[in-house]
Amino acid sequence: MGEIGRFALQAGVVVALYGLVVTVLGIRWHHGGFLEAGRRAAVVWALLMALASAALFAAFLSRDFSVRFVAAASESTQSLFYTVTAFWGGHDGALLLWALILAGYLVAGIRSLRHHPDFQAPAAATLLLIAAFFSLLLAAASNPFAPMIPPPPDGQGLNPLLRNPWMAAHPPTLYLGFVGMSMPFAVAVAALVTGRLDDTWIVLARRWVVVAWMFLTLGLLFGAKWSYVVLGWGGYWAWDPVENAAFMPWLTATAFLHSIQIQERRGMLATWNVALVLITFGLTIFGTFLVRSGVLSSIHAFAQSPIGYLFLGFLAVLLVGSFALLAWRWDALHSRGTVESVVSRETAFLANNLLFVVAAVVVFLGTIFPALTEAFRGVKINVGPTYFNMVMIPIAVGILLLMGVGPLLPWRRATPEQLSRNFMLPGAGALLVALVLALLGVRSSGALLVFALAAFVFGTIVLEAARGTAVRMRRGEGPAVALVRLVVRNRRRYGGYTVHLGILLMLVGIAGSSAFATQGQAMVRPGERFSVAGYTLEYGGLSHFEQPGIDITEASVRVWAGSKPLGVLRPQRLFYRTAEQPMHHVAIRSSVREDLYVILSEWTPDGRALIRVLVHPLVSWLWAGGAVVALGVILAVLPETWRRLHPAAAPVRRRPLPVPVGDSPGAS
Amino acid sequence: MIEAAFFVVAVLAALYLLAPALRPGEVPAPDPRAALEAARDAALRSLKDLDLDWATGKLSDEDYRTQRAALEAETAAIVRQLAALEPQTPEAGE
Repeated sequence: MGEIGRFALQAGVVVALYGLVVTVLGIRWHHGGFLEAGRRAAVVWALLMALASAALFAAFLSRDFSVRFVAAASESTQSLFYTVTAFWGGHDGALLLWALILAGYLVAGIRSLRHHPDFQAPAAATLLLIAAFFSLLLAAASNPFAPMIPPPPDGQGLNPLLRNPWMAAHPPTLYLGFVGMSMPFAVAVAALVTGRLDDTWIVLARRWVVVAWMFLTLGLLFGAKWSYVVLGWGGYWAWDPVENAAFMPWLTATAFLHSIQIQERRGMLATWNVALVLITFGLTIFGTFLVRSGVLSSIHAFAQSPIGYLFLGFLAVLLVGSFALLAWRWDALHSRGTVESVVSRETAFLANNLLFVVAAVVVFLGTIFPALTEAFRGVKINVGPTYFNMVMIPIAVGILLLMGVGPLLPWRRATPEQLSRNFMLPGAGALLVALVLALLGVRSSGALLVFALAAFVFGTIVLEAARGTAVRMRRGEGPAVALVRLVVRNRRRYGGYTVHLGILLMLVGIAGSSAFATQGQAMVRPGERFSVAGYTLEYGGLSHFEQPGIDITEASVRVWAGSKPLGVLRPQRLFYRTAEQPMHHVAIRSSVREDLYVILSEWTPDGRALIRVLVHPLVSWLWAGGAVVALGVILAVLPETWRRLHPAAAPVRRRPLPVPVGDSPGAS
Repeated sequence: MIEAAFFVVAVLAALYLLAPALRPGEVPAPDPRAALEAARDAALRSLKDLDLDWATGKLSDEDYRTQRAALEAETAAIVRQLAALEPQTPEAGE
């Protein structure tokens, strides 16, 4: 398997470089044969990456410890599931996963541009340049098929921290997001190279950005969930440099998804949108540099390798090249429209963009601050969560407010009557929620503000859906049919609202779990009880047992909420013998209202145990929000061909039009 | 045996990759319709959104009338340009 893998990776370098050269020459010499050869090279490169990946899977499954990476990331007692996921359990395999995902995007991206040959060739060249870089890394500096001589009798095993389903899912989803941003980057570069700076590139790039953004969101959430269930500290986000590295492109991509609407609708922000796409992709490469370089201390230290600085060099080349193109085309990227009123949707979106970009800058500065202080003062100084929370919470509150305000404002300008009509009910709902929560004893002003704003945003979404449904019901449709048709026939708009709803759930979950978390701990003997935040816990004793390669100590803890029995929770401490590494296996009882999080901290030979208990209100809303976001994205990007399978309905009408106008062409 | 198989596959792949480069091929001319179709689709979406915004009370009648007239004129101009390029304009999808 090692030979096949090495062959595929080395051939990948040749094919990617060949494809890059013939595509660039094809563009320069207007040679259609060269361009076709470049497209074929992209397909062959993708096949080679698939072959290399298949070879690595086969090496893992056959326990081929003559391959160094297999020996480092698996062992004979490892379960089948974690033997498969060990593929991305170290930097060499993770890099191959990156290349495999890029291969998929490369083939799909080139195919999606087949009706736009002027975009296709430069975009293919850009993607092949990225492919060549990863191929060179894989073949020369980080080869997952490097031989192990002599082969050991058994491997070292996958890092115990990574033996968790959420960590199995986190890298592939995150990479689908990271690598997905290369496609809009390639389209933007193509637009700059060809000078085709009308709205076409926005149309071609938008769906890729939306899908990549969804994967990035899910990747971030899966990573947070892993941190929550594995690290045993009770949190899910610590402003770790590597978390930040994935968060920054998410912020700029989110800004882009809003600002392209201003370009599409009002012909503004053309330069800004190109810059956002270039920066977003640059941040994905910068994030990879942070993960791989070890320049900053991180919980992801297991992912470090000597190749980190190669990413920094590649990033410099990409940014210098793409921003030089942007400067070259600067004059062609003029705005066609202007802001007519401060109170308009475009102003709300502009403010939203400003906040997202400021947030990205804040996270960037906080992340690289230790590296800067080390470079200039010789000592790493971490800014810590205090800095991030102090700056990011007000920004998040501003974004939450705009999430409610923006969609209910009209383009161009709003009148006082419209403002009153649109915001009276959601505003009253927000005040009511704040009042009720205050009466129920909530005293945290920050939490009250977030919950009130969340109620406001929720109210605006409900109002928007209710009014749209009511309009359709006037045509004789029943409420359910009207709502479904409203959503299905305005998928992009209601997909966006659904995404907002998901983000809302996530923000409420973050606010609730941060502001109202309580904890307690007790050193108890078997049969003893203690109470934390309304829960009574009875420690039943310890049991010790083994699984292949793992020694497990498990506590039995019976739980009551008030007088209601909730069953038995079994927190564990695991000791991985090969890695000689202890791990927590936290016992979590999750409900809509809160999570009961029980940790076996330590124990004594006489059977006493230190049980730590945390109660996190609303944390399940955070995870549910991710599912709702994914649903909204799917709704928003369903292909137009799907729409055409269904006959278009007549446009909706509130009342007779003020002037005779025809049906909106294409309205559905 | 494996080496021979590798060699055969490599030769076939090289032929597949080199063959098109050895013959002159036409570079498809940029399709002027692509930009117009994108602009038309964006204009149609804007019209649909404008209708829904007005129907749900976000716009005054006067603003709606003004904006819709401008969007209709813009859409009509794009459709005319598309029609002038070719009588049978294929359906464009996003």
